[in-house]
Amino acid sequence: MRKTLLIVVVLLAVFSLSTCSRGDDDAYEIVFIPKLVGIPWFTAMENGFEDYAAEIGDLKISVLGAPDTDPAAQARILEDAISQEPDAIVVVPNDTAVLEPIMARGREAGILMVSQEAPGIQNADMDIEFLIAERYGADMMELFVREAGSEGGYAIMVGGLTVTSHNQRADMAVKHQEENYPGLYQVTSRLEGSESVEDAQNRTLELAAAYDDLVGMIYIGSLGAIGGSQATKSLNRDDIAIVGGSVPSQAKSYLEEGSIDANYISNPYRIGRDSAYLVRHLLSGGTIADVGDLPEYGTPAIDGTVVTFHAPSEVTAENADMFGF
Amino acid sequence: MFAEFVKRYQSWHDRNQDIAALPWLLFVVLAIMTVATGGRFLRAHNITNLLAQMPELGLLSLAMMVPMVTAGINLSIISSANLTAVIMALFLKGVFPQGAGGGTTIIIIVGAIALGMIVSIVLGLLNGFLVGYVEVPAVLTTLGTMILYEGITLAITRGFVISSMPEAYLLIGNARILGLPIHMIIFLVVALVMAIIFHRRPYGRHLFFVGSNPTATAYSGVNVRRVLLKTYVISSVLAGIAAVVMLARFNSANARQGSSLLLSTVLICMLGGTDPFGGFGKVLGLVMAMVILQAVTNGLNLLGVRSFATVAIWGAMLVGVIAYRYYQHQKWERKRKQLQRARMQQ
Amino acid sequence: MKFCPAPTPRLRYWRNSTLHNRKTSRRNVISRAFTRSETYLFIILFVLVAVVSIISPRFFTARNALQILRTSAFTGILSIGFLFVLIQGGLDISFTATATVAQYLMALALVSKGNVPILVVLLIPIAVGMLLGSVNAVLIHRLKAPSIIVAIANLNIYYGVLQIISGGTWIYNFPDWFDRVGKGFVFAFVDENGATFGLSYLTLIWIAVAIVAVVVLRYTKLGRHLFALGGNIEAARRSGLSLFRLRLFAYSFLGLLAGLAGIVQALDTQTVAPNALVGREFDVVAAVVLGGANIFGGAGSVGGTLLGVLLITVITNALTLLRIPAYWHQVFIGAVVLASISVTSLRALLARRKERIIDVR
Repeated sequence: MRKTLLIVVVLLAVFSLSTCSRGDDDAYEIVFIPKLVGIPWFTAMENGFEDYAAEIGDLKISVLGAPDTDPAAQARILEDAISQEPDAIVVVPNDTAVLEPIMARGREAGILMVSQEAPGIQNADMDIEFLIAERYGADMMELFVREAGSEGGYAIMVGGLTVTSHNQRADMAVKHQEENYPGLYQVTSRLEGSESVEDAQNRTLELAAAYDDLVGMIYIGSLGAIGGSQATKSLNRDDIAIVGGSVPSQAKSYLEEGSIDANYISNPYRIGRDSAYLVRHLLSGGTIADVGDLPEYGTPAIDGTVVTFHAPSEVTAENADMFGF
Repeated sequence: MFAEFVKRYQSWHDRNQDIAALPWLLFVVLAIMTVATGGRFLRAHNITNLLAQMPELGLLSLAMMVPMVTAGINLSIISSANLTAVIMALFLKGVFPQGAGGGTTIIIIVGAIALGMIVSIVLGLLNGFLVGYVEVPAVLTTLGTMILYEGITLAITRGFVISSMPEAYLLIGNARILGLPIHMIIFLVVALVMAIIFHRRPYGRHLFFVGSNPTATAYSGVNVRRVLLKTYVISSVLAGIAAVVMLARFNSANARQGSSLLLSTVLICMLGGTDPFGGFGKVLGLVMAMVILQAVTNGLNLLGVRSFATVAIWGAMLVGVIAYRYYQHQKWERKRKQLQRARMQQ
Repeated sequence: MKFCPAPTPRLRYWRNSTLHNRKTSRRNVISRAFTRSETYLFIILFVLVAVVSIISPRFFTARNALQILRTSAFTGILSIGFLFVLIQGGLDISFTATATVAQYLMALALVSKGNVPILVVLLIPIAVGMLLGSVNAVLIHRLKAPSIIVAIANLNIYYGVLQIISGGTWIYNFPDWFDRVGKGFVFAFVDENGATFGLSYLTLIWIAVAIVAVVVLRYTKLGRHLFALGGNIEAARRSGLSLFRLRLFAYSFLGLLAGLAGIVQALDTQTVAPNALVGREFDVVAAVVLGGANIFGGAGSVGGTLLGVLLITVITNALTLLRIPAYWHQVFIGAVVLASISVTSLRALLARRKERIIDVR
């Protein structure tokens, strides 16, 4: 009796969720696996994929993703996505090395395996790079120098100390500084907390107290600059430059009042559209060599299986609304 | 033949009432998933996939189950597995010579695994000492060591991922013997050994005694402190074996890998009939629960259901299991009382 | 092995007061103080502050102290709620999800165009918190299940459902008044940079909650009943206490404070993200047990909890001010938590040995 009750509950739970609509077999099925779901960046990118698919008509996008950036969780999701046997999988790896063997298995199964933001990946049919780490680091540092000058101490905060792509960009920014601005130096080793307003705010307040020579902060991660600007505002320290990469619609009011000095970020919606275009191009028989012009970012650089364009641009109070996220 | 089977099942059912519902639940889940995914769930490729994903989760769940039987818990399994994996990875990358011969390769890999086991034992000794000898409640001890071990790993790696293990090592996570992946064989052997320890060895009996009544156990001459120390060392070693498997499967180690699995292990233990108040737990129940949970997750992923829905469904399943247990318990109570009354009337 | 609570100070006082000697009784005040974990915690905190102040003169300033109090408000409020549940013998870590849901609904009301009255905006999270808290209480009581397991389940349900419905959308650009309250001060000073600093409203809320908690726990029947329930559930039941009502109170009080903490965090950050709070449960648990509360119920104090919260915030704050690389912070925090709970347990163990109390429960 009770057993059946439990069974009914589970049945209901599963069936109420199995609202998947399969069917139209002529459409290409694409699974998109972001680093994690539930943050504005990837939500905007999903929208880019879906809008492009709706316009073009023969693509069907589904999104699978973990609630956090755990590489092991992502590996398991990718394995499940391969079992789903779609036409293509686009994955943004949390840790490329973890996914390599699984990517290989997907290719063996005849699925077009595409990666995004995975420099050096071996087992992808195509890797889409919308950001050149050297250029990102250099641009970020140039913006920083514009706002803070080329003398004094600074610190870099990343989203998490274990986030590889953030660490790479931070390394490149430091490299650019060491080569061009010897007057600048890091007051402390890398910090973490750029994905939390509170952490960014608290660490910035502490740094401002601990180091008199601090002229500014660089935040890689979408909430760092928000927290940093709140910290400098409460200290009335306009002299500390806050340079980050926050969501434009959120950063806008801070940029207007000048508490965020510079904001530098890609437009994930447009990246999503270009990625969908690239995947469809390959699925419909095209090759990487003849991708032509992307609908959003023009002609990409092509090197083997790597398609590269540089999407990040500076967000100002004036152009913030044009980003659409 | 069939009657024989039914009789056997009857007797198994009577002996294992606490997990008797699981085979049915497993069957129902598999059936639903097969229907809902239009058969994709049962394709050979997906079955291989399921087999590949189970071992690490199963090993970690066993690591969680052992202290749970003693009415404890080990929150530090993931962070101690990560610390073990990082040290093994550093060793493998540090000493592996270019183009080594077969003999050297085997020695180095065995050495790395031995090193990993030593690290796990040390980490387990700290937990076991604090729980057994200082009598710090297990939740607190392992909460503290969870933070500490993750901190140490973070300090060693400075946040970076250690990847690209030697090809030969990766075989542990990818090669097969007789159609079964090697790490699945590792899991099955470990599960069998644990089942024997639990249900056939004196230590296993002591474990259950400690879980149900530590004071009485102490008076009956069992060294409770030693049992607890052993428990946490075993738990840590199981997490260490999970680390060996995860390092091979994911080809990398870092401070925060697999953090999302902690909750799944608690859920699997609960679903598999392990009593968090101690004194009950069966390896077979745990294995069935793991397969059920894995099938649900995998099926939902095949259906393209958002992961947050999976999170919510797991929560609902846990409440469902608790409710089921409660009503079943009440049923037994009623039966017991009826029997008593019947006897009184005689 | 369950822990027997240390003999209550009252009992000791009575035992000692039979000696009519003022000198001894004064010494006993001191020795009595040393039976309390708050005293040890206070000494640790004091030594820590002293050492850090000597190394870094920037640490011991009014600004930094007030900042630490502001930073701690969120954890502090949650800790007091968690303490109530802990005292009556439960472990409920679903409060981060409760706070998230409460906060998110409030944020929706805040940015809605319908001009929701301020009072309603602030009542939403509190009501939602109490509701979710009482759901926990009902399930735990009705199903006689371990509270931690029910809490884990509900945490996942609340959080998962919120994420599905909200799609993870962040909410920001709150009205001006919300920003002003978040940055406002009860009283303020101006420093050499022309920046104002002072006692934040967020800290004020925390202090108010703490005062209410002290009054309830120490001076009301309800408070004593909570301790009784946590100390010995069977005795509590036999003496006729309504277990359900007590539990309902404790869990919905935690829910209420989770709602309040949700408001405080939104005031502080001016951003509401569904994934900002879940995962921070253990900060609160660590703070409360550092404060000397018994994880099995029946013992704990608001003062100890406040000290526990402050200790953790001060350590993090001091590590940055002492210029220690961020890679090492977690090692320090882990070591302090571990050392502190070990000392507490060790003292309990030694005391038990000395008094030869055999507790069969």
